Amino acid sequence: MAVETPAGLPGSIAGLRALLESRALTAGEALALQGNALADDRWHCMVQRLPVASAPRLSEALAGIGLAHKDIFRLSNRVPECGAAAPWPRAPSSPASAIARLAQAGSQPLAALAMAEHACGATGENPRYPDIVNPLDSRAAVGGSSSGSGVAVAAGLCYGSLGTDTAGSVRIPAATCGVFGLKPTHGAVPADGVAPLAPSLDCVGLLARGADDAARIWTALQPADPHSRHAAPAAHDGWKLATCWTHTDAKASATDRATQDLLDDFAGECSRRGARRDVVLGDLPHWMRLAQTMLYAEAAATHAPALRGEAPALGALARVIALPGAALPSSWYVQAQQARALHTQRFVSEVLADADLLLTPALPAGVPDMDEVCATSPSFRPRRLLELFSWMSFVNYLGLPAAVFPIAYGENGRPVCVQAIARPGGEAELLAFARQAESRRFDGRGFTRLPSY
Amino acid sequence: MNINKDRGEAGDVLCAEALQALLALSGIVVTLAEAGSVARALARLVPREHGR
Repeated sequence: MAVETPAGLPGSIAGLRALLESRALTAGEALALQGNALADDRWHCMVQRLPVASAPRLSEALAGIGLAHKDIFRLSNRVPECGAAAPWPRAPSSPASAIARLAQAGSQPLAALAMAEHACGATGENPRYPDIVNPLDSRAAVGGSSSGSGVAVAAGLCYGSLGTDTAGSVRIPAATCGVFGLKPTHGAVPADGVAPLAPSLDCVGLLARGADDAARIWTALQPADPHSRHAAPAAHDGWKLATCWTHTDAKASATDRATQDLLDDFAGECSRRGARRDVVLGDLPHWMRLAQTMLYAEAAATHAPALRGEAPALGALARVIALPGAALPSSWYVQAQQARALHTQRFVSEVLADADLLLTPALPAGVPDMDEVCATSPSFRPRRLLELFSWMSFVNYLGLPAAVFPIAYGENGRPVCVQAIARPGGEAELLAFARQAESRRFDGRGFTRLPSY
Repeated sequence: MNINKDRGEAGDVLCAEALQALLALSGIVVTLAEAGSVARALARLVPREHGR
C-alpha cells in the first residue's frame, strides 16, 4: 500500500476505496486513523476536531473518506463561528443542505477549518487563530478566505473540503496551496445553512487534491437526477479554448513572463486537436466594479446589526468590506443587479462563442510571500494583495463556474495555476478538463505535492 | 486620491464629514478616517455612465 497521507493511507479517494473494498480495514477504522492524524495540526488549519458519530456503510460512495469543511457550515453537531468572536447567531437548527447531501453519501466531517473572519479576506490572516502555514512552503501566502480548507487538503489531512467563494475564496487558497478548487455556477449547490456574506455572489465550492476526488465529491453534492446538467464528467478530446492572459484594468498587475510562458505551453497542449483563440476582456474592469458594488451592498445588509453596534463588533477586514455598502447609493446596486443577466449572456455568446472554456491566470505573478500580503506586516505590498483576487471576482458577478488548479511548479517550488471558466452548468467540462491536465502533467496522481511523512 | 477633484484635500474632508453624518443617520458610528476610506472605496465604484 502506498502511504501518502499523515494517516498512513493512500493519497486519493479511489486508492482508499480500493483498500476498503479489499477489506484490509473498515471504513470506521479509516476514519479513526484520519481523525487521529488531524491531532497533529502543525499548519494551524483546524478550529475544532469533530467526533465520528457512526460507522458508515461501505456501499456509500464516500464511506471512510475523511472530509473537513470551512467553519461556515451548520453541521449536525456544530454551529459555525465563521472565524469571528461568537457563533453564527442566526444559524438554522438543521445542517446545511450541502452537508446533508454529503452525509447521504456516507461522509461525516472530521473537523471545522480555519477561515478569514466572516469570509472577508483574500488571505488566511485572522488574529483569532495562530498564523496558518502553507504546507508547500512555510514562507508562502495562504489564500483566503477558505484558508483552512486549502491547507488541510494540501497537507493530506483530508481528501476534500467544502468552502465558500464570494470573490475567489475557494480559488485563491487552491492557487496558493497547489490544489484543485471549484467555484460552481451560482446556485448549483444550495447555500442554506451556510453563513452568508453576499448571497448574490456566494457559492458553495470544493477543494480536493485531484480531479477524480473532486468529481466524486461533486457527484455526491448533486441530487440524484439522471437528467441533471451537473452530470459526471465526460471524456473529451481536443478542447476549443479562449485564452486571456492580459488584464484590461490598467491598475491590475501584468501577468509575468514566466507565468505567461507556462500558460501558453499548457493551452497549446490542451488545444492541439481543437482550437485556441486569444480574447480581450474589455469589460473586465466594469465587471469587477459591479461585483464590488454588490459585495459591499450585500455585506452591509448581512452585517447591519454589527455595524450599528447591536451585535458583536466586526474585525478590521470585515468592517472594511461591510462599511462602504452602508453608504452606497441603492441605485448603483440595482443597476448592478439589473445588468447582470445581460453581461452573462454576452460573455457566453461572445467570449465562449466558439470555445468550450476560457482560460485565465489564477495569480498573475505567482504565489506571494505571506509577509507581502498581510496588511499588518512591515513587508506588506498592497499590489501583491490585489493580485490574489484580480482575476476572481468578475466570475462571481457573471455567476459562472470556474476551476483553479496547478499546471506546473516554479523553480521556487510554488504552484503556477490556471483558471478555467465554463458556461453556466459547465462543471462537468471543468472536471473533465482538470482530469486531463492532471493526467498529462502529474501522471494522474493529484495536483498537490504532499509533504513527506 | 482626491474624491472631490475641484476642492482637493479640503474637498476630501468635506466628503468624509458628509459620509460620517450619512452613516450616523443609519445608526453607524465611524471615525473620520474610516469615513474617508469609505469615500475612497465608493469613488472607485462610480458607474461608468456617470463619466468617470
